[in-house]
Amino acid sequence: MTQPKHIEFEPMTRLEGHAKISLDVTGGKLNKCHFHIIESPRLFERFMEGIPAEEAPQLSERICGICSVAHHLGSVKAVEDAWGVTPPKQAVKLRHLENFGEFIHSHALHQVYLALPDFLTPETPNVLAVAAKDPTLAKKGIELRMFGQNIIKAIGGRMIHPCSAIPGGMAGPLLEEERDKLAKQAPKALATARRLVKLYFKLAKQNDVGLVGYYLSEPTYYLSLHNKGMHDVYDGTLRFITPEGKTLHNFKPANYAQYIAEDAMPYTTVKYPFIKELGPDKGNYRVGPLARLNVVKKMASEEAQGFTNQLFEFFGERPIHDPIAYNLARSIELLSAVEQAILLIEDSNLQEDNYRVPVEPRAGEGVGVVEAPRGTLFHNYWTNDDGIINKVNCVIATGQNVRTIEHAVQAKAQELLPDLLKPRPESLNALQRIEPLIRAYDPCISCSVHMIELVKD
Amino acid sequence: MTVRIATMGMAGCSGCHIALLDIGVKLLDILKDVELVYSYPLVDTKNPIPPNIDVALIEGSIRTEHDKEMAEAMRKQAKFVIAFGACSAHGGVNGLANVFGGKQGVEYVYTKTILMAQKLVPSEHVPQILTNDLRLSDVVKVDFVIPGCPPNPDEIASILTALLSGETPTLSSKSICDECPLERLTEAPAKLRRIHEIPEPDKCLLSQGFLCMGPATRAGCNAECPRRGMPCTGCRGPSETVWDQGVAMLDALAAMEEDEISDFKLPRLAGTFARYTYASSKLDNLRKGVQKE
Repeated sequence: MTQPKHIEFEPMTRLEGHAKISLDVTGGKLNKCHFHIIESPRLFERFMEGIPAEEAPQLSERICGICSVAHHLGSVKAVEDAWGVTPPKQAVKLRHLENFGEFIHSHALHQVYLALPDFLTPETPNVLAVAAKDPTLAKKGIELRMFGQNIIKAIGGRMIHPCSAIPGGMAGPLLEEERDKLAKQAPKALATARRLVKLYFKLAKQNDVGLVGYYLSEPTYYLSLHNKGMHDVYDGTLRFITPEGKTLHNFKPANYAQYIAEDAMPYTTVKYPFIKELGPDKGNYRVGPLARLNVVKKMASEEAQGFTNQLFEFFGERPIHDPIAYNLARSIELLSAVEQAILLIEDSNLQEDNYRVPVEPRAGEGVGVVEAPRGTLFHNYWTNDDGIINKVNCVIATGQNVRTIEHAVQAKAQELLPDLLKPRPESLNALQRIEPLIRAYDPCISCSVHMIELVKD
Repeated sequence: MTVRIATMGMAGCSGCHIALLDIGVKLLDILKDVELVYSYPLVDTKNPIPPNIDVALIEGSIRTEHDKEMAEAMRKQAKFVIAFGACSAHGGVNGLANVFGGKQGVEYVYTKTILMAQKLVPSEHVPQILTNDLRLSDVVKVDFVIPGCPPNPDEIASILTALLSGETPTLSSKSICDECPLERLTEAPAKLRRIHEIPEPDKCLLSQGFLCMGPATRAGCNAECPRRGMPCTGCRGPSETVWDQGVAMLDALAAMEEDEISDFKLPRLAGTFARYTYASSKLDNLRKGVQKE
């Protein structure tokens, strides 16, 4: 009899946050394989209780240093909903632009620093090797990401954990000198974003590195925000589509708790959301770049729409279920975010003085939903008469993809098991055939565990 | 000679790692003669941590047994350990959970949330939470601290450049007020105000009654938030001359007209005055019954 063996690979790398894979093997047979999220719980859920709600956008964003803007904006929308506040149009435009800035920074981070090494320098897969092999591309990629960060700083005061969204609007306009600086960087950013989409399409078509069809292509439901069918990252209605692409539910963000429920697993610190009426096994769904392209009917520009059409043609299905399509969908969204950001930078309305209205704290419940780079993000707060938070619930983008990631990791680990059981470096080479799958979702693990859940009864 | 650098994340948001990348294209120059030997977001090295590390940047606070073990393991291999960012330096916002305690908080999250279909607290092969959130220096010797939530990219760049050329890096010894462009008023505020109220532009926020942490907070960020019309939340921790950030801020307030502001209810003392430093504050030490220097 062979003794049961527990093998762990840690940390999963070129991801944002902490994860590991474990294998339980007896006599060469795989009994269990888990994808563990081992991020330390930070308990926002508890310590946000009792803070004045207007401070929530600056505290809850500390959940995530990559998509802090999405948390900042989801949070301020939740407070405004609870207090019955409508921010002025100029503020809404500024927030849109700020979120596009985040999509640019976060998507470029994934496309250039995290994923590209798998395809461009697979023998030494890291961004420094990419920089050595193609210094121009690396430099342009870095500048593209900084274009996004510079947008966030111009509007939010800081690149990470911005300070300017406040119930009632924004703390200030986009100043003229800031706008001019951004306008100067824009053409280069647009050119690089175009180059990246084309590069990712090219790589996908190369069978040896493209990985298309290599991972478990599991049909699931998809969820995304849309604005009358149009791709939108800040405002709109939520839609669930079925694995066949039909609308299952089209609903207001405020009603999310009627449609979504969550499960916990003993081996991971992340929670698993699912479609409530279908249950955890049948109601698995995905969010993020591919989900958004699967759900929306139209992209905001012809160019982005053209690439989206190419994407569906290339994979020959709609909705697309192959996880590797996330990389291509992300590159299309990156281009679209640059295009949309440029339109807003050129909008003279952003320099006006109509960015903030007075508000009165009051008792209420509010839901704020935005699209974070990794998927749909929910903040839900309850406030008392003084506008102090007494209950919080959040559903974080990445958690909604973890179940599908795990299924594919299990299938691949089963297939690669003999190699995974060999000593290093063979086992690590096999692992490098699994990690690009996890990476395709660009999971933000820091976020997924630091979710603010609810507080007192 | 190649310098071997490692980066690591504990309980944090990865924001400090992103702030490092926010140095931009210049980072490629800074890292020219550097070998990045261990860094989960950037290179594929798995555990165990490789030996002979010259500089280790550690982001995040110590929130679990696993964090503690990893910090100790890194300390064994690294000659120079930097507490990187507010969580690592002072405990960060995570420290606010010390008011409740770790285990109770975890149970709360997994069993009392509105969407949870079943009540189950993860326990298999997942890190066990510590009762208190700790800063890095509570578990290992720290050679240098880079404050900020997150740290300022320019400051990280100058510190790394100094270290790589064999110099001793330094931090600003001033307070946020010293680098703030807003006009200070001589009159004390008539009342304290919450931040949803709209301030007068270009005037000191504290003078207007907003709880701006500037006087008690270390400079080095160019007063980003007050410049934007938002009060400083104190993310860079205590300034050089300050003994305890929260106490210093209370002190600054007490020096103002006390009759006028006495009716203001402070909803969350720790969350307001020690948002990023509660885990290392005198207040928390009193609660824990621990005497620290």
